[in-house]
Amino acid sequence: MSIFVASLGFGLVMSAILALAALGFTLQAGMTNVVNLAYGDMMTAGAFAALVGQSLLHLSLWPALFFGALVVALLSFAANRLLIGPFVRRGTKSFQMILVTFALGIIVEYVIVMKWGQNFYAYRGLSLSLFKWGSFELSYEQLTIVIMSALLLAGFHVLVRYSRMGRALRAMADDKQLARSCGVNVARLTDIVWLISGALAGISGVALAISSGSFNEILGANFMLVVVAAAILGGAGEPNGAMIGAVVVGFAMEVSTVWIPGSYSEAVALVLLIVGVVVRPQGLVAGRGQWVLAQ
Amino acid sequence: MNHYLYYILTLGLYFFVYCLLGLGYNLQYGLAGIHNVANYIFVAFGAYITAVTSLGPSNSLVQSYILGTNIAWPLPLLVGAASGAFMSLLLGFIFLWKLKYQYQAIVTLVIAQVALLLIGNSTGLFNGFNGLAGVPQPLESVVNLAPVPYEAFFVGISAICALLGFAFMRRVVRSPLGRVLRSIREDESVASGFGRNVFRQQMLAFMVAGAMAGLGGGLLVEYLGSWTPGGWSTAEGFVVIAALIIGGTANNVGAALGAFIVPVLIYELTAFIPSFGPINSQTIDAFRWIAMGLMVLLFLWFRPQGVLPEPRRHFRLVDRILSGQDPMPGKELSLSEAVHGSDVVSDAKDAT
Amino acid sequence: MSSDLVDLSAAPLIQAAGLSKSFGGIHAVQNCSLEAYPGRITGLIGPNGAGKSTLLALLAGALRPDSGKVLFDGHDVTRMHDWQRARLGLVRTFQVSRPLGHMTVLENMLIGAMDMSGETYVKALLNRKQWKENEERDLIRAVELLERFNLLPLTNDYAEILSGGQMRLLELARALMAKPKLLLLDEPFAGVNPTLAQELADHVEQLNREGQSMILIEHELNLVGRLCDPVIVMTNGSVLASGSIDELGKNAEVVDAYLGRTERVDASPLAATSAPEMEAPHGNA
Repeated sequence: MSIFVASLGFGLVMSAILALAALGFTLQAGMTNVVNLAYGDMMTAGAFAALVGQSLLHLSLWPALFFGALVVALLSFAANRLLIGPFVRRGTKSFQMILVTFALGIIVEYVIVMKWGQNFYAYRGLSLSLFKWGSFELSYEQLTIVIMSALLLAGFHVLVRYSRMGRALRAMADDKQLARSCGVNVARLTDIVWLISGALAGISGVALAISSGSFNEILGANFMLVVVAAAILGGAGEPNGAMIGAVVVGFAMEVSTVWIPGSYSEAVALVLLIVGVVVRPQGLVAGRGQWVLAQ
Repeated sequence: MNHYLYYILTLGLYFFVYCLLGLGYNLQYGLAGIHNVANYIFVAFGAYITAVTSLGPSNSLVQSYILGTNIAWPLPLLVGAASGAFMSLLLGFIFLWKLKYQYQAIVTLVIAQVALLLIGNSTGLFNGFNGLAGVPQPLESVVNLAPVPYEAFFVGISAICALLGFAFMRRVVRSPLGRVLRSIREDESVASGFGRNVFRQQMLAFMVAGAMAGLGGGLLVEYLGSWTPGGWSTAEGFVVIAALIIGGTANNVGAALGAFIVPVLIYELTAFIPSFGPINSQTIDAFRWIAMGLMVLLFLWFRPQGVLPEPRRHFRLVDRILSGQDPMPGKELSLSEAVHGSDVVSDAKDAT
Repeated sequence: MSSDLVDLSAAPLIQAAGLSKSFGGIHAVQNCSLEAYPGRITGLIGPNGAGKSTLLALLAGALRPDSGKVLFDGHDVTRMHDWQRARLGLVRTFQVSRPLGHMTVLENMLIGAMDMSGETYVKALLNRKQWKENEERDLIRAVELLERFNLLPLTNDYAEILSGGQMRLLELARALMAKPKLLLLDEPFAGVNPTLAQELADHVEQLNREGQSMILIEHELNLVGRLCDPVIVMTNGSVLASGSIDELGKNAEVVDAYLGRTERVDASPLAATSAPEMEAPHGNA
């Protein structure tokens, strides 16, 4: 029983990190219609940027996390402006776009390898103390991650629901042409979406690195499969769905370790993905899910 | 001198194997329009099955794996190809069935990643992350050659496989089958509206391509003698796609050209760059990946159809008609006899 | 109007009974029944959003009905996919032209020919002589049709470069290659300049005189009057009336449907795409 409760704790952490990552990924896919295979490598870039923040700028852990977020936000923004945006404007077909992001991901990954090799790294200042509550056992960093994630997600929800920008974003997701003709500055909003989703990639990347203890150049690329599973299960293109999908997948992965070896937890995510696709292709949250049905 | 020769032979092997892989990818993507970025899983699976069928029974102290039937060559290769086809069958049901294109690509990637993780974690299956080693070389005892001539012999075998693949694809492309596959690529509704079973055709193309990938994997593992899950990652799979994009999608010669440019030129020749100062072999290795990625981006932007675009099909019969010549020299039929005699719908009962 | 060779006591070529199809909350087609007889051009008219395209897609098998039956040429085709119905001789054209863009006009025509020879791996590899012969016969037929529709100069051009009107012609010519028993035409004259529309109408008329049976969806009532007998009127997903165009003109309900209300029901998702939506693949014909 105590193992079960402990796994719930880990599920909470996993869901928290996954929700941030899946949200960013879904924003990119849903708003800008680009399935970004470089997203995982962006997460890795965030983790390594935070490392640079620590070593070069002598930042402590959490400032380093925000530094990582900032770097990836700018990186994503640049990637869209210089690479992805021009291809999209040209009318590049969706599969070619995937190849573009695939290539970008490879480049990002091996730029990291060029500087840091294929070794494992860890952050300074990771406390070893644990927070215990009954069988519940998390490190203080993990707890912080959970709280931070909840705050960010809540903030995002409020932003989309109640602000003018949020309304404009929703209009854009529905029908870009229409939004444009209603006076929405689609170009500027697209920039903002890439900044926000980039920041989310960075934050989740660093958080994942913190939670895992150590990380290497394929941190994010390996995590991608879980992110995709959560995003698609929740309803591709639907931000609320991504969050719910993340909770489902995150908990399922961790709780399943009570019964099956931990190395199979990714398989659990995959099974959920397949079941979700077969049983309810539009996802858990009935949303627009355009890019699922689009050809 | 031998060292240099051996190096050239290795390049040759990689060239022929990548030709085969490229042709298979041409079939599923260039012709049939299936969007798959995870082809490497079929290569890996073919390699594994070839390995475990040619190795003797497993000795858990050294390495543990399933099968280990030690069957005679060329059976392990054929079994490897068949296993590639079988894996394609399984995966095809999942993602050719309900998924649409954007979705297809990313789910294939997820499945492939999970599959390799599972293989890596199941030590009993294919010896986990350590992989398999000591795979016997084909016909070693039969063909009694010194190491270098033997490698030449093996490269010859792979060349034959590539040529067979080429001949096969050439026939397919020029046949009505090739035309049907392209029509599916262009517009499934139209293909369907004119009596073609789209799902079955896509599935078959996928399976044949899987077989070719499995064969390629088998050849690689027999040449290298070993195989690890880390050896075929997402990035490795990218090499085949990059080769086809650069060489020319939907063009068989383009597949060969791509196989030459990407794995051979970029990938291998950069090994010649000497290590000095801050640049070590790891940096060079990373650099070649970056170079490949950049090249793909350049091609996708400036020349997405690749160096050799899809050739436009002409029909000699029609060209002769259009230029006023006798359309069927040497044949007895007149034009209208040929047409109106065709009311017999000959192969209409083909279950395609 | 209809072919002089028509035997008016002949059995219907296609029969639909009680067809219904909904998309979400929208009842695109409700309990429709119709018949079309051999040798005739049966018109299908109605205001926008009446469900005509959806009905045609249901007949062709591109959509699976929620309920109802379709009988074609003596077969119950209700459970059949579009590709199976096509092999029986039921062929359709699309409301928005769908050329196979990166293939030549000639190759488009060859796809239209449905003799299926050389389309399996075994046959393609081993039986070259036979499929080559069939291909040559198809090529000659294709050339004749292309000549008839004035598309011959474009034979070896990629279909994607054709103008809108040329694509319409290709759409029709390609469908004829299939030697269909029944041809379903979804607004074949739409978006085409009046001269070309008349030319297309002439072709359609001539084809009918040669015995081709058709169902034609069309908005231009002149063309309908010229080509179609009988005509079926649809509104709001149901069949309202049927008869000759003169009879319908005297039918108050029909006149009402056209002049009275303005139906602004969103056109079915089918209007621009006609993707098959069958839920499960079938292995064999």
